[in-house]
Order: sequence, then structure tokens, then C-alpha cells
Amino acid sequence: MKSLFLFLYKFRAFITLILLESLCAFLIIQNSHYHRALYFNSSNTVIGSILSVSNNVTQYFRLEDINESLASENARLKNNFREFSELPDSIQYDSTRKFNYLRARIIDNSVDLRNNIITIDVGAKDGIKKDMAVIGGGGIIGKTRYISENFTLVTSLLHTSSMVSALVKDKVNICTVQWDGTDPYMVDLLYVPRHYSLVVGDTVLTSGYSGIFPENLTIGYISSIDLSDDEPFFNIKVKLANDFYRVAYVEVAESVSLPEIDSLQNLVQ
Amino acid sequence: MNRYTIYKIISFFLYLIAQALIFNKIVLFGTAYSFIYIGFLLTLPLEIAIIPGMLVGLALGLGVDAFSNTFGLHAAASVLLMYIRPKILSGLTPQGGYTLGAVPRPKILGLGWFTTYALPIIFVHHLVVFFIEFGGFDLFWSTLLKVLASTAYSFLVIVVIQYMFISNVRK
Repeated sequence: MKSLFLFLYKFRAFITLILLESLCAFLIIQNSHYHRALYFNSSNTVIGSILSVSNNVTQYFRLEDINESLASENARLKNNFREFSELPDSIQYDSTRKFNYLRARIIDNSVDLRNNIITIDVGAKDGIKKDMAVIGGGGIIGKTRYISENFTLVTSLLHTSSMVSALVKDKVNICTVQWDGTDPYMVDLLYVPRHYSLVVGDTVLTSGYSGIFPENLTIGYISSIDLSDDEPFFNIKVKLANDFYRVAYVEVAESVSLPEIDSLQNLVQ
Repeated sequence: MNRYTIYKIISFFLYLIAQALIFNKIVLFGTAYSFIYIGFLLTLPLEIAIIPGMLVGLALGLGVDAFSNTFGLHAAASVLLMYIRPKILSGLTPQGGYTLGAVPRPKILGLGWFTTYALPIIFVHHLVVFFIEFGGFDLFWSTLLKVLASTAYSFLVIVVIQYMFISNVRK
């Protein structure tokens, strides 16, 4: 017994190292495998407030960028509006709203990591729930994940576990967009069978099948197409429409029909 | 609590805030990061025992994790850093031993000594951070490039901070 204690005492530093590293491993694994809100993140009130104040300051240096992106989004929306208003009267529109939008400001954003997370300045008190779509600059940004009272962590599209159901305009009806973790301007387009004829420049849109993202939002444009002989699917790179370095304001879209879709799917399973 | 302890506690938070609000945002070419907070760990006094040292590393690492949403990543690397630090320090003992109350800082022990002391430690720390963050060894070379570029960048900034901002508070 005595020799055991002597042994433990001799290696106390190493044993402490193992214990502390296991604690860290536990934290890391818990974050990637369980969707549980941990305390140590930027949705924490204190940390969120500090980041928010810091963002208030740094934002002044980016006002030109922000102005430009808002102006171009305005122009895009006006063009869309014209399309709608020029349609003949005889077509009846479905007037029920499918999504409610809420404005939010990005207070913290990482782009260069492999698993990027964005913090926005709205939270549970504004009615944010898990798995709401975050869109901005005409494209998609990510999905809400951890929600605290005043802040929300968003799993960026630039996160290796983000998958978005997509389509190629007028060509492919169902495929998936995922980021491979390297270039923050490029994502992969997966599961496009080889019989389609695609060209560089085709537009990739959200399909809206998951019920989380509104449909027909621009994700990006095909920038390269590769087809090896032994694979069933194309290797496609898509250039993102959004510049994640520049985005400053986003909208959180709450799907009105998602609870209904979910409960139906639960019935089937 | 003497003056030096209070000074260290304040600089703990200053390093944390500087890392979180300034240096987390300054990424060069999407490749080189500067994790300057380990400058605090590197310049802890020599007398600090290994276990309290690891606990300080854990605390600072968790603080940085909280701001960068990395959940334990920096904590793991910092604890390891504080574990290997005494071993490297004892390997680098100058002739005649360290003077009592010495602090491993370039101003005191010389820039050449500090380079041989800090560079390997920073390299190991960054190696751990980037390979855990990437969750494996695919993309090995691009990750290694990030590690090397970031090691150089962090080292440079840490040394500059040592010469520019740290006053001559001695224990």
C-alpha cells in the first residue's frame, strides 16, 4: 500500500496531466457529439456582452463594406419585386407566410477554422429556437445551435458537419452542399449523379426540402466540375455567393410550417 | 498577495482579452494565427510548481476557448504546455543555474535563450491545437503549414509584447 502511494506521489504530475487532458477531451467530445449547451462559450452573458461591445467598436471600420452589401441586397430585392409585380393578375399567390424573419447582428465570426461558429446578438428572449435558418447577403449563413437568453451560436455553413439540401437551377432537383474545411470561398456539391449535363456557372440554390432553409436562396455558382471514371457522382466545387469574411448583418428565418412537418414525419417513423 | 501576484493576475486577464478581442481576428492569409496568450504561460516564474502551473494553463485555456467557441481545445494544449515547460526549462539551465526568482523572459535571460526555450514549446502547443481542431491527420501538410506559420507569427508577437509592454516588475 505504501509503495502504491509512493508511486502515485512520484508520478503526481503525470497523473494530473492525464486527468486534466481527459477533462479537456470530455469537453471537446461533448461539444461535437451531443448538442448540449455548455456554459463555456460565447453565448454566455458575460462573454457575449464583451464581444458585443468590441464589435460595436470594430464595426465602424467596416461601415463601407456593410453599406455596400446592404445596397446590393436592396438592389437585388428590388429586382425580385419587379419580377413579381410584372406577373399577370390571374395567378393566385399563396398568401400564407412560410417564414418569419428577424434581423440580427454578427458579434463574432470565425472563418479560417475547420469548424466555424458565428455568434449573433439575438437569443431566446427574441424567440430564437434551435435549428432555425440564418441567412444574409442573399445567401445562407448557417443554422442556430446553442441559444442563451441574449445570444445565439450559429453553426456556420463553413463547419464540417453542416449539410444543406440544395438543387442546381433548372437541372438537378436534389443534391447536398457541404464544406470540406479548406477554402472559405468554396463548398462541395455532393450526390449529383453522372447523367446530368452541368456547366461551369450554373446556379446552386437551396431546395427547401429540409424545411429549415427557405427555398431558392442562392448558395453559389459552380466553379469546377470533375468526373472520374469509377465514381457514381460528380466532384463539383461551388463558389459561394456570400463572402463570410464580410458579412455583418443576418436574418434568422423561422419556418412557420416546420413544427407541422416534424410532427408528420414523427408519425411516419 | 504581494505586488507581483496582483500584477500577474491582471496580466492574465489582459492576455485573455487581447487574445479574444484582437489577435483572434488577425489571421494572416487565412493560415497564420497568433495565440499570444501562451506568452503569459511562458513567462510565469520558474518557481511555480508543475501542478499549479497546469491548473493555470487550464484556466487560461478555458478562457480562450470560451471566447473562440472551441470547447477545451486551447485548454488541452495549454495544460500540455505547462507540463513540458519545466522539462525544457531544466534542460536549458544556464551555467551556474538560474538566479533565485528569475523569470524566463527575453529581457532577463537574453533573446537567444528565450528563442531556444519558447520556439519548441510554441510549436508543440500549436501542433496540438491545429491537429485537434482538424480532427485527424487528413490534410496533414496544409495543417503542418498552418502550424509552422502560426508558430513563427505567435513567437514574433510574444517577443514584441515582451519588449514593448511588459514593465520591469520583478518578484
